Amino acid sequence: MKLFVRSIHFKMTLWYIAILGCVVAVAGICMYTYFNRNLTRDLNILLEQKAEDVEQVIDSYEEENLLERLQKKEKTVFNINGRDFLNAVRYAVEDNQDEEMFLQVFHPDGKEILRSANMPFGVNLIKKSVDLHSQKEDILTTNKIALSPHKYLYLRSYTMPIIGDGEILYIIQVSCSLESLHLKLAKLRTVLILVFPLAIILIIILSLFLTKMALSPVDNMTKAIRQITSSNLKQRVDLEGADDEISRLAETFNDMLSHLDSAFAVQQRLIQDVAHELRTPLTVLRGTQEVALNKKRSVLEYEEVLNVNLEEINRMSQLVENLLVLARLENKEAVLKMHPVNLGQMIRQILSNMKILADQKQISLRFICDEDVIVDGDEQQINRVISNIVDNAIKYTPEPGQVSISLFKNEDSVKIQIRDTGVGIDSKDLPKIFDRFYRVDQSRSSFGYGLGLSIAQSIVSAHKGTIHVQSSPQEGSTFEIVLPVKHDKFD
Amino acid sequence: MRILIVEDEKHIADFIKKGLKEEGYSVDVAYDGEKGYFLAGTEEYDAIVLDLMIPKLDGISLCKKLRHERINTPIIILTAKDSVNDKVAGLDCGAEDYLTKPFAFKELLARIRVLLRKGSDQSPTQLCIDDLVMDLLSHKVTRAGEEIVLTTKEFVLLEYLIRNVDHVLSRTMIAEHVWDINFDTDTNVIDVHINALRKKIDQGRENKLIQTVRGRGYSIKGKF
Repeated sequence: MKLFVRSIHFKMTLWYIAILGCVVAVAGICMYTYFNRNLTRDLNILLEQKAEDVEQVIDSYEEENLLERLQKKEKTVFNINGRDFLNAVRYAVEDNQDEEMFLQVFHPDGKEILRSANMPFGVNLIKKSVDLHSQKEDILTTNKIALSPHKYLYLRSYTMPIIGDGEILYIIQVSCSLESLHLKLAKLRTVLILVFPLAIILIIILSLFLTKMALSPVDNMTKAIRQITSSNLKQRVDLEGADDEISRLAETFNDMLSHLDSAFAVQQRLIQDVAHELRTPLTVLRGTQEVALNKKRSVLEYEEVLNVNLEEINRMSQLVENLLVLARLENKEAVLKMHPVNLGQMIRQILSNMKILADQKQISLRFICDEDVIVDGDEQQINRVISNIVDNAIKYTPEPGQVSISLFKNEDSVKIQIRDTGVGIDSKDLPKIFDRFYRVDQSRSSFGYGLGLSIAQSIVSAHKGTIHVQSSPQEGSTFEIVLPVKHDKFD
Repeated sequence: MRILIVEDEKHIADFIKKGLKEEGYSVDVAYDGEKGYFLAGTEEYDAIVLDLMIPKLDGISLCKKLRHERINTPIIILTAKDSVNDKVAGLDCGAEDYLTKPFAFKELLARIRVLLRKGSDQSPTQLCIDDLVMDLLSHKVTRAGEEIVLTTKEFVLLEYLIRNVDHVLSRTMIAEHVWDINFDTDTNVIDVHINALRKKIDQGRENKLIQTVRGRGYSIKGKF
């Protein structure tokens, strides 16, 4: 459960519920308000209409009276207390009788003149008679009438002062019970209140479902990936058609798997190669000692056995050392000790070290260099690279021969070229010579373990340089190492 | 018995040679495939110990060539390659056995003994003829229960004769199988050794095992 609460599924669902819930709530409230307003407005209009109708009737009645009086040559002044007016009002009220509406006509001072028959009680003229006099406007009010203790009647009243010559002549008040309106609104409210939670539940279910659907490709991928890591690295995640974010993720993941797969394969090979390489010295150690122990031997014989074993042990140590160097270089673990290194000086030293070896095979060593070049690098490692290649050159050159090293300085790099007149390298072997344990002659009697060039390449790469070789069988080989030279500000 | 080792790692070839010689075998060594092929074709060997990763002519090809030319000397492959595919390839090209490095020398010896007894009903550790018993492990020889002490050369000579029971073995053949390539065939060392052997195993017994075939050589006659 905890896992679910923290999931995107849950969060998305919450968001959906919140947003949709708000939307639904707002819609409900709007609907209610709209309804309320409309109903009230309609009611108000009805009241106003009624009041005007009453006024109309009174007016027309008054007009008739006026004509009569004119004919009779009587006074024509409006008399609110006159019998004519009273008749007019009575007529108007009766004429406009309405079950639901309560009609009243008042004196300007607030005294009730007449009320419609359906009013057993009287409603006071609204107490804002002062305002009426001052503003002479129609007023809408809501009054609460107590019918009996705990029983109330809500009335909406429309109070219309009839103005004549700037003075209020009389006041018409039309009232209506708000009960039915309230009932209608109450019904609506009930419905909304009932519907809202249902809607929320529906939203919750839908949201859960929708988000689950949206996230199911992610879930599927997770399942597929889980399968891969537990079984093998050859499998790939299925790209299900759609060109969307998920399929892009799957693609990227597959690429990563491919990289991992080949990286693992490389590692596997290395481990196998190492184990294989160790077999030979172990065979020697085991065999020589087993045979030696078969019977009692002379001290000299034992010494020989021990010496042979020591030789093999040294070979194994070399192998282990070289492998560690290689591993560190490739892991970028090796922190190169960068110093300014004088290449010319270094090469001269290497050549003088190799002279004895070269002389034995009548190989002449040459060094061509216009000017000494200084590069930033790890002296020991660079020395190793150059020594290794020169050593190979001498070993693979039959007598008599020549090994020459040239140093070229360029704009921002330096090139070290080592050329020999040796047996050369076949074109099919050429791309592989920098591979680990690769030896051109697959038997072990060729020198070393085949790690030298591999290490050389790693070191050169670590210095951000490049190493290349050109060669043909019987025509010698040329190795070229290019190292970057940083521009010294104070050059 | 004469064994050819084809192995390029000098130290390995050395200890195998030393160990085998101390067991009484004659041993020749070839450090590459071409030399190995040459020796196997021109000399008589009783078994060949062959490494696969050798220069000039690799082990598998060497084996195939020998078999193609009907040279059926038993071969045991000795190599660091240990995958199933390698083993299958090795055995399918005509070798009789396959041993991976590193190995126990004792095991190599035992397997060579098996190679040597191929084609006969003898057990790999004992050679018997009539009432003569040769224990190949302890190098003890008894006849009718009585122990007979032989020198190493005499032992190997007797072994060779028994392994080729009823066959006539010429002096040349004896020289090739019981001595190594440095043997000088002009001397009569063989006759001397045969006589010495006769003295020890046949003298005073009714049933003479070692026979001289005039003008041809020697043989041993008997039943298991």
